[in-house]
Amino acid sequence: MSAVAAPATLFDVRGLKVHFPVRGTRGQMAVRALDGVDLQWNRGEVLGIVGESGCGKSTLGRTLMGLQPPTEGEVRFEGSLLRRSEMRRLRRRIQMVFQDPYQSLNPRMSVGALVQEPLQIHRIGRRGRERVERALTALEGAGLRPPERFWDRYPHELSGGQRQRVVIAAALVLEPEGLVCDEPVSALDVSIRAQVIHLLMELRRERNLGLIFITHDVGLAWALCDRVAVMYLGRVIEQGTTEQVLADPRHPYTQALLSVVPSPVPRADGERRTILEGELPDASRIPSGCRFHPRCPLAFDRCKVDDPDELLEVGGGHVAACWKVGG
Amino acid sequence: MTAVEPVPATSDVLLDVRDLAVAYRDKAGKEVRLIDGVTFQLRRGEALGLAGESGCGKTTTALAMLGLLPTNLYRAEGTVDIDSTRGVMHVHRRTERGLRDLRWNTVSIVFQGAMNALDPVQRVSDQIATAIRLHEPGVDQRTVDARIAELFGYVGIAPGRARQYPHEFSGGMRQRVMIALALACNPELIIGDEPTTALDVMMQAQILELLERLRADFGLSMILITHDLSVLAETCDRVAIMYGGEIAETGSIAEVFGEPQHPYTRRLLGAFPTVGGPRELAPAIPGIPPDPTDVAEGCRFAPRCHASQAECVKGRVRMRPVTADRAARCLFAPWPGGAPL
Repeated sequence: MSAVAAPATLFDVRGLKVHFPVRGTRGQMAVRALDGVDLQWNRGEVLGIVGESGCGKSTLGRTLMGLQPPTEGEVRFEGSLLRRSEMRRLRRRIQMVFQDPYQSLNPRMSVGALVQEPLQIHRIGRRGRERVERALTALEGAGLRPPERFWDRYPHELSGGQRQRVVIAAALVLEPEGLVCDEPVSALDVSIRAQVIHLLMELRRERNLGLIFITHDVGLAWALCDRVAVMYLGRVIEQGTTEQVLADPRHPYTQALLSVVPSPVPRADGERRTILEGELPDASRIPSGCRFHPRCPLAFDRCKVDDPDELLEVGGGHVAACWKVGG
Repeated sequence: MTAVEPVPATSDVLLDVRDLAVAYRDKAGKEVRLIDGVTFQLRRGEALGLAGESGCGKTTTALAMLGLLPTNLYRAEGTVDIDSTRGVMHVHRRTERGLRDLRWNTVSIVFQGAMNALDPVQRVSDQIATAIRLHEPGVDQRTVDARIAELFGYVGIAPGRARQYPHEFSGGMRQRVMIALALACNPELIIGDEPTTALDVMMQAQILELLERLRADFGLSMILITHDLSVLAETCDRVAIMYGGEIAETGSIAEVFGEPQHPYTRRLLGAFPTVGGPRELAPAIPGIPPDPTDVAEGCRFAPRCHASQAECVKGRVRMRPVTADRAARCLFAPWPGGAPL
């Protein structure tokens, strides 16, 4: 690949909306899965996207990969707008790893065929021999050693951890610059989970691979990510470096979320938990004003009517969508 | 006797499990033990966490305590005694009828998948009423209704929703229904089998808070089964870490989490990073958990252990006392300052 001063930003997302029309009791409504997301992902960076289920984090991952067309807003990849015709170019550079490795692998294909398939799709490696060699290298890179031993096996013959390694190998075979990982280890057992995370971090160090790490596990985001974006009801409500967001959270939702995350270090008696009442509102009925105000312990009059749709600067690149920030 | 845990004053102990082994026979008729030598005590009002990875035997242990083992499994060895307010119960000797009297009245269980545990075509009120009637024959409708309303109020669901069906509740609400159901006959011990695993953090916090309140208000004892060590740290007094069908380590939360005495516990804890703690992950445990059909001689963790020595694979490793209330199944315990990372 020619290196003509590649831009530092891989993805630049502005005002991204994904709405799904639904027929409700009161006529046509929309589930606003993404409702104005602003986000940057830089080359070689591990970006954590954190939130509860239903906050839109998986839809965001899918939209970045072009698996879901945006309703509104723009996604720029290396500075230029993504067109439908450019998906092949994008996916050659950025690959995706899903949560459940069993569902992402075709059960009728052998490991060797699964890992070679991306090469066929992208017409890389003219001769079969070259593809086989690339696939073997990718398997080895994903920690399946010796790769020949796994070549003829089928997904059902592998353990969960091995399956996720095959998924990673199939993503790596194209030598991408980034992986979008949607809960890549949530379906795995604890000791296996650590193995897969160590693998991802090793790949990152050795190849300067960028990662988007979509997770509900705040502790994991703390340990792995360079920057973190917290999502609530279809929007990024706080973003910054991991230390800024997780050690010094400014948005009341991030603060509440962090206060209830269980910790293996028994907490001090005086430490308070802010348990939010009720449940995440339905994404087809997003509250007016600030979407968090009905559950927010700090909400005041302005929050009920005025939507903080621009992220406000806290300092040093740390931003939060809250009227209390800075004020 | 493999028990090295000191036996506390008898009146203090609600549940006493000794040398429990559960097994099945394979096609060749060979006994395959899924859990083996499981020994622990639960004191009145105490919350014990049973932790480990899938397949380590934690759910099998819980099911054995209720006599709910699948038909292909049997108790191969050991005893389960409950010193309830209704007298001492030897669970392992009970017939099906005797077990029915034990369940709900003395011990009840909250399963993980509330959608699977609740009957989808019955109103939740009817499901709770069935449980009450089965265990308190002759109880009248008014008492049942009042009890359901009281239970719903307690777990934080509007009593008007009692006549709804399970699918009308969200995941968190269904788990509350499950807890109401478990409380229906005033048990002394509640077993929660991964009760919050399928839930979001905020919902998890709500359910854990509810369980804590139960313990405080009713003096309930609790066994919480989970793979998530951080959940245990928040809710339990003591913990038993299981590995390969055996208890690897037991003790108070503060002791086990502060200075783990088994190399497995040490590495397992390292897989749960904390915000504010070190920004790295402990080294991973290589390999995969052991296969119960092929149990190696010696310590079951030895093939994956970073601290194993030649003697670890010679003969079965027994629990070794660390302090008065603590033991670890490691030849080198006690480790000064905890097992190495």
